Amino acid sequence: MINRRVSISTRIARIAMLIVGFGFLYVPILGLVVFSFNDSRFPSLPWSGFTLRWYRDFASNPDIVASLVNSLTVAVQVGFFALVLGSLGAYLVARWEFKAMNALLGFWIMPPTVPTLILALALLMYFNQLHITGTLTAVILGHTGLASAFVVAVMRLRFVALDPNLEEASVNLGFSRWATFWRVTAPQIAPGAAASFFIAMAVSWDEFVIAWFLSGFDTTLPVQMFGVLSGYVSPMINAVGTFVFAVTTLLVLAALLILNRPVGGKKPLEVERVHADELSRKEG
Amino acid sequence: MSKEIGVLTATTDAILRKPERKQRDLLLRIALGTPLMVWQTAFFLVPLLLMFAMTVWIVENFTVVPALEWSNWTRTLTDPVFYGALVRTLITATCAAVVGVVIGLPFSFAVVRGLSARAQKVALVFLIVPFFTSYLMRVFSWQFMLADNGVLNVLVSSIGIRGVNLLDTPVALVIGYLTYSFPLICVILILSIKTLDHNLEDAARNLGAGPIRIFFRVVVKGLKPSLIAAVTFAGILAFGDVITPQVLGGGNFIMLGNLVVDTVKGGIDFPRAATIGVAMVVTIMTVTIVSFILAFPPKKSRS
Repeated sequence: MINRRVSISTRIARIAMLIVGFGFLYVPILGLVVFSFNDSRFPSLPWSGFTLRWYRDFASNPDIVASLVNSLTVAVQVGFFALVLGSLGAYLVARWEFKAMNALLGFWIMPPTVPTLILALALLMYFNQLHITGTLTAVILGHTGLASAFVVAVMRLRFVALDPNLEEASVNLGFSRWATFWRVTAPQIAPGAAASFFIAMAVSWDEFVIAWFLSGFDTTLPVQMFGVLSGYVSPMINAVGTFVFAVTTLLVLAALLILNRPVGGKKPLEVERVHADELSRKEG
Repeated sequence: MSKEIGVLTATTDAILRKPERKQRDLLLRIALGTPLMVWQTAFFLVPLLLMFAMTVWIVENFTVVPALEWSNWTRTLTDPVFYGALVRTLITATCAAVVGVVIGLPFSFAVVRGLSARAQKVALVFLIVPFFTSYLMRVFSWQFMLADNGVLNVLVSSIGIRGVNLLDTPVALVIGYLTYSFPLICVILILSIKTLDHNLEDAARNLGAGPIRIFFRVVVKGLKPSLIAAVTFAGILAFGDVITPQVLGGGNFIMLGNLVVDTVKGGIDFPRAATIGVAMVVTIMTVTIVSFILAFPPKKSRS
């Protein structure tokens, strides 16, 4: 490593850029949180005192609470379905090599690359033909495809990091595939599975457009909030927003922290590198 | 002793049963792949195909019925509202993407060159978290930052500058789109700047190149594929967005996405909405293909 002299002006410019970038992303969020405690009907300066009024309003608003419960039940179900579907698929592409593998993987992780508006529109037309639009079931079905793409991406790297010889040994020693899975594979991938579950939940909890198109009277929290947004202005929205934001941040942070821990004795970045090496060897 | 014999028999058994195991493996593979395959076909591929098909269907007695009628296409493609929205969406999306990369590039350099390896990891986490979190809420929070009597104006006027109302202007749109795409742009650029050889810049400087020349001939050239990828992804995210124009544009700017929303929410003219949706998909695919060719130009065969 060469030691490069960095001039003071370069240093100042770098710090300024970091402030601009992170400020752009985090100052509005900070504003949202701060104004959710501001004792004024208008979200503006100067500060007029601390209150929990908007949170009480939020907790005592039956529509908002109902949509909050809806959002949670939808997110948990989406997390569960996406985890099961995605893990099975990820195990397949991580363990066996076959010609169509890359095409299959590409197809499975495709939904997030399509704008959610297009996905929502297509699903709306499709579910309308099947007569299930306007239900939370439609929202769950719609979110699961999107969320399982993330599960496949995460779990595939997890499975690749496992030593396949352990499973092979277990099978050769006479254990069934089933027993091998529960005794050898599952304990090692449990953290990755938890992380995938959290990410899938976060994707659903936060998603707006698909839920907006597919849900009906019974709706999710982001959709309910959007109704409030375009209706009357109340600082309660800041309290709801802060809550939604806090839940997603916790889910995503928990997932990232879990994924950052070593797996199979290797650091996560090493896993990716080993995997990349393997891929290039295959191609080369 | 007996344990070892047990192991031995089990292993021999396993070897002897190999053909049978291979067949079981195939069944297992099918069992593993089928659920997700069925799911993504039923709830992703088929709906998209249906959307394509529906562009030639018609509405009769308030229901959509299959047909082979091209009038939706002729109506949409000759509609000035559609063209206005298409051009408007393309221009704003491109502006947002370019502004994002212009700010994101020095920011990403600051992260890679100015922070320790550990701090870089933290910075990446702080970029990934907002990408997943409450785009709707983050756009909404810009609403009261930018409003007439909003935080930004109060702060600016407190130091003596007359504030301007940025809400419902194109600037607000760019800000809203960047709320979504800026983290993605930066993650792409940071990961690729990490692979850029710092020595090349030193070498160029030692050979007498000025900073501008170094920037274009070494940095931009080295990062070209990722720069194009960042602009493309950011552009696509903005192109398909409906939240920002609605929340920060105050309904003054009708984008293609909003046209879809209005058509769908206003009734069941699904064929018309499908036509706009397919037009959007075609635009996005064209842009992706063009940028891929730009990023990885086909090698000219010189004999």
